[in-house]
Amino acid sequence: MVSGARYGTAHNGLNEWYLQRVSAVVLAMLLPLLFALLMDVYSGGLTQMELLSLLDHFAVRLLHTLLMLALLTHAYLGIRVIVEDYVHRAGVRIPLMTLWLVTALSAGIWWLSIIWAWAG
Amino acid sequence: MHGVSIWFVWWIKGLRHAPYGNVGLWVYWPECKEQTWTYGGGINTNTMKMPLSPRLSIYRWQPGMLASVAHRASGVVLVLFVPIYLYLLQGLAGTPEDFAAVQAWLHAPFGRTVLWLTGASLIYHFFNGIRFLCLDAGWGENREMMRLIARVVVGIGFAAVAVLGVMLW
Repeated sequence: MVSGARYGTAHNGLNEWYLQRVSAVVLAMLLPLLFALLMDVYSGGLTQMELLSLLDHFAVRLLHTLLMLALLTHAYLGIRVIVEDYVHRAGVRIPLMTLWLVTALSAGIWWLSIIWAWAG
Repeated sequence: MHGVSIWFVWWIKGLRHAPYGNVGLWVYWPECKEQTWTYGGGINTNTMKMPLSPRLSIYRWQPGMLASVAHRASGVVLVLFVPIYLYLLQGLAGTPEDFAAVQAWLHAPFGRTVLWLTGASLIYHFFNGIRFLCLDAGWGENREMMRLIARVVVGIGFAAVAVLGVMLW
């Protein structure tokens, strides 16, 4: 990606900065759809069978997985930016970010298992 | 002395407004490569400490700063909603009893409050994120536009709180 210049405080280029923007664009396109779907379920516009037949579509599962990947990437990088700004002790910051990485990965596995349950 | 000159360049070049602190310092001032420093104090405390970007207690509050801090706060709220979302999704895709239980949870006062907070956070984070992308693209970088757009985005956030509050109650 954008790794040529030695930008950034870690001098490892713009990869993570770029990834945060790319995931933001994906989320900006997909999250409004999910928000509308949840609003529809909340207001009773969709029955459970209608919701399930929608979620069972292969394309919907694919988009849902893309959204999951973009969201967890974006959340990991966003929390990292906040932690790096406010948590100054390396002995606290590094374990905290490790814990956050493992937590985000666990959430992703759980999320995947829900998305692809009963796929056939 | 060297530390003073870094502060001076950081201030004069307007790098204090850079969203990620020191990105771009080398572009304006290549000599600073000779200085080793860590961002906000790392393992090596011998190195010089550069100022952190959000020095909330030092800067005068500006619309752009308020919008940026609110972006972080709403982002944290949205992260906290992820496990709740997964729990709800599991229920919605479960048995009809699970579905009814999730609907009851959502319509209870606590569920409504959660939806209110996260919905408003999502709308605000969405619009302020577009603002950030525009700034990254170099659009609206003059002071008047920065302040105006930040005010508009914060206004959208308050409007989202009001509209979602009326819709949910």
